[in-house]
Amino acid sequence: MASRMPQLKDRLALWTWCITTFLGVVCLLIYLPMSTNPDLEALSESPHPLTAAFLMATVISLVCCKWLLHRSATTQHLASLLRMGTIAAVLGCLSYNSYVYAFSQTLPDSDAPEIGDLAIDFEVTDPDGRHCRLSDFRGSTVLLVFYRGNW
Amino acid sequence: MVLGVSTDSWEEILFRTDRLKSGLILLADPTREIIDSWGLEDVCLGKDIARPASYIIGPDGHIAWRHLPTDWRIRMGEDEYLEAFRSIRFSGVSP
Repeated sequence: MASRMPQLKDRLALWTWCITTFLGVVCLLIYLPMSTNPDLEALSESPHPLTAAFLMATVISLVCCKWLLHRSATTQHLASLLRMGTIAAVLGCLSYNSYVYAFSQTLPDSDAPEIGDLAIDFEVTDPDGRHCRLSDFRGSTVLLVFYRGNW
Repeated sequence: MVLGVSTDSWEEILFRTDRLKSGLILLADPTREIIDSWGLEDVCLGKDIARPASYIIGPDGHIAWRHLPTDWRIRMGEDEYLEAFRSIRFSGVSP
C-alpha cells in the first residue's frame, strides 16, 4: 500500500495537472468566442497550436476525472492523469502542426489567369433571383477574392 | 467593388452577409463553376474548395493584379489590398 503522505513527485503531478487543466479552460474561454467572431483577422492570430494542445490535455483530463469519480482517487491516479494529459497535449500540438504544414505547401501548379489576361466572366443567381455577372462591373475596378469558406 | 467567391451555400452566405453588414458582395459557388473556370480549385485533403486567391480587375475587364499564394496560410489583409490598389495605375480612371 502507498503511504498516506503524498510523495513530492505526486504533489508535483497534481499541481501540474491543475495548471494544465486551468490553462486548457482559459484557452477554451478565449477560443470559443473567437470562433464565432466574423472578424477573420482575430481568428487567424489566435494561438492555434497551443490552444489545440491545452484543449486536448483538458479534454483527456476531464474524461479521466469522470472515470475517477467511480473509484477512490489517489495521487497516483492523478499522476497518471498528468501523464495522459501531457501525452495528449504533445500529440495534439504535433498533429495540428504537421497537418497545417503538410497540407499548406502542396498546392499544385495552377492554370489560373495571370496579370494582363481578360477576367473570365461568370454569372450567378441567388435564391431571391438576383443576378450578378462579373462583366456588369466593367468600368469600375473590382477586387475579386476567392476564399476557402466555412468561416 | 469587392466580390468574394467560395463554395459555401447561399444559405450560409446570406447569413454571413447579414452579420458582416459590409459592402462586400459574397457569391456562392457550391458547384465550383466559377472556381473551376478560374483554375483555382484546391483538392487537398479531398476538400473541394477554392485556393485563397485575390484578383484586381481593371475597368477594362483585364486582370491588373493578382495574389496566388502556394501556401494557403498566407492571406491578404486590408492593408495589403490598399497597397495593391495604390501600386496600380489605371489610365485616367480612379478606382
